Amino acid sequence: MAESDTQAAWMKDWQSMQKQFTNAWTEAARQGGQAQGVPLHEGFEQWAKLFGGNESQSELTERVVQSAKQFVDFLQGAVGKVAGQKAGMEVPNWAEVAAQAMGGVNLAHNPVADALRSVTGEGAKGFEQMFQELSQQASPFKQAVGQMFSMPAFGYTRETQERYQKFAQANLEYREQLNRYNQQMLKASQLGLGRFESKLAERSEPGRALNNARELYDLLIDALEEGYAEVALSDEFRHVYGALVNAQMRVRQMSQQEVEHGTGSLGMPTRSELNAVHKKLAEYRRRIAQLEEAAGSTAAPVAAERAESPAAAPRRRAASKAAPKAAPARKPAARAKAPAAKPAATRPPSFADRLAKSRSTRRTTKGGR
Amino acid sequence: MGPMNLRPDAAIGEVTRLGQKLAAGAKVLREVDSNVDYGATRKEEVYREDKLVVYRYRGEQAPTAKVPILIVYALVNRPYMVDLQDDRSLVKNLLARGEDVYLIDWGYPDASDRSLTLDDYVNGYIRRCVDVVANRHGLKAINVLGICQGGAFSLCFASIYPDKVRNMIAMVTPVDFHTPDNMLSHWTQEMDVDLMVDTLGNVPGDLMNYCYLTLKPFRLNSQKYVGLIDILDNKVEVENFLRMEKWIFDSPDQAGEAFRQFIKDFYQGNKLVKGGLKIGSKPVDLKRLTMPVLNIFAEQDHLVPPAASRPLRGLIGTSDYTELAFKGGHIGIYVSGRAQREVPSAIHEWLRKRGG
Repeated sequence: MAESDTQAAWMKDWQSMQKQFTNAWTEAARQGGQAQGVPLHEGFEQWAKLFGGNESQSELTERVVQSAKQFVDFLQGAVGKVAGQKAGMEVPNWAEVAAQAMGGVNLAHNPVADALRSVTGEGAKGFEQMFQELSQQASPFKQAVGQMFSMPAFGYTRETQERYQKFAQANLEYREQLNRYNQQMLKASQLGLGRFESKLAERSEPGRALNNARELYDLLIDALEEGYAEVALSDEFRHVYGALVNAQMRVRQMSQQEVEHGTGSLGMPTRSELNAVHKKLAEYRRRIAQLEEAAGSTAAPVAAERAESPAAAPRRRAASKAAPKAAPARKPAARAKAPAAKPAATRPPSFADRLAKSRSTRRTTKGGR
Repeated sequence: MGPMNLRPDAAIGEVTRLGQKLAAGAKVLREVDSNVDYGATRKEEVYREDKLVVYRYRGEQAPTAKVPILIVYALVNRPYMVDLQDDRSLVKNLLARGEDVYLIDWGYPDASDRSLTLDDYVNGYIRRCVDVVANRHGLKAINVLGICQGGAFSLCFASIYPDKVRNMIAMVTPVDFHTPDNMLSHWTQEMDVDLMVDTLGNVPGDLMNYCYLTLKPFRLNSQKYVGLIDILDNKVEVENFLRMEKWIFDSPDQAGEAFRQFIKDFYQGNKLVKGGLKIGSKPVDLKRLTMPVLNIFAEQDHLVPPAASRPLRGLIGTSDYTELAFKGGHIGIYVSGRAQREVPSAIHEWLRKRGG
């Protein structure tokens, strides 16, 4: 099917859903009852599929769809309450409407916890997601831990068992801290929804009423942010957050040590060995820089052409022309195109050139004595 | 009187508009490339060391400024925010006013860089970059424009090497890390950063992003995308959005040792204010900043609250201190329309009055 046909088909489906939506709420308004929500979600799902194999837009469309679904749930909840309301009826519990639209308020699912989970994706990964990845990678190890616990703690496995016991304790500690953290998120959600109620009460004053669902949604976001910020800036949260991060790092560190045990026994290079090599490299880089400076070569202009600013002084030295260089080294699997290097770019003298110059300078000095 | 005047027909209207925007958006999103290009201004490489590159930007006409500006950007984000696109470019606007602009692009540290320290960055890289730019112009001192974390580094640099800095411009720069509204700082206070760096090595950019986005999780991860639907039928606006989105999620990993010291001495120890900070073997005392200082901060900055920047006034040794409070946020200070009008001209005028 051609792109335009696909889009037209989607539009037709959307209009059909929109009609159902209209009918449902018109009827509800007429009868003073509660209408059933219309599955506008399906419209968003279908919309996301319009991009088919366009991987580059998938992350963005996913985020749009997630947010739009939440907004529409909220809109349907809001309009449902208003449409069915007759004079003298009880004022709707808006916090409840918001909570329902956002998937409920309990320890596992609450607006704040869900919002934090939704942060993750391409380019953003939180502690919880990092731990999930670690858990998957460490599953053979965790299996071994389980087996070890059923074995007596003596003999040649004693040392290993001790390590495993510590690992199990660290895992338990992490779970405990995660639970404390989730309690904080629940508290933030409850606070936020409470704030929402207060803000709505303010809007009951003459001339301050909200006129559409979008305004109501924005007010909810303000309230939830305020509730979250109050918790996130509290002393209690600071303790909990620090403890959670530290607990996870301990589990991660132990997992890495076990991987090192395994890979080391197979004769493979380990992270620790690579770290040691990189540390040495960094030390050499510092020493080279010091040597170059001692030789007076680093601070020299490295571009072939001199600056043309009015301040350019005549005592500048000429620099040699060189081939263009590429843009700075990029992150592996970079998400963006590297900015193209301009052909006018110039390169510094090679390290060999500068070191040779440095040696030559020192020899001259020595010889002069 | 209730809080809502919402009528079903108005709600139906909202759903109708949503559908129209989505339909138009489907067409627009197909037309635009999510890897939108960025960088508006021609630039050339003038210095390279390890992964960093110093660029010199080229304007439409030759610079008239006597002293060049070196922009020292943060390590935690990519520096192309200062030259994002043609109509959102601090660099372009500075060049248009005759300034001569250089920038340090730190590149993307990898595992081999985990041992890089703040000593390497400040006493090594920044110092050599400043020397290179100064030598190109036959000067002993140049203007330094430090941004965010790069501003904190620049303040340290200016304290250690005051003779190399003619004028110091700090932009959205944290100085007091212990203000009550600093959420990021609050979260780091009980983190065992030694354990973290020993375990992770370099700190992943994705983790850094997560932390920034969780400062305002509803606004940055839900409301923002509902807002995107409003502009889905506008190709230019969508491209602007995508360009910003790319920048937000394009964060380099942080060299482990430098991160360790930055968290310990700046976030936890607040040593720029309390004193006792050393970069390598060199003590940092902000009283040694006797050159003119321009401190630009954003009034709605949630990453570097104004209260974190303002204390600079009382800590430095200069009598020539100027403050510019920008009406906007941490990102808006580079890309908003107001920023294009106000920030480059403020910097330019301030420098001109100081012979820079």
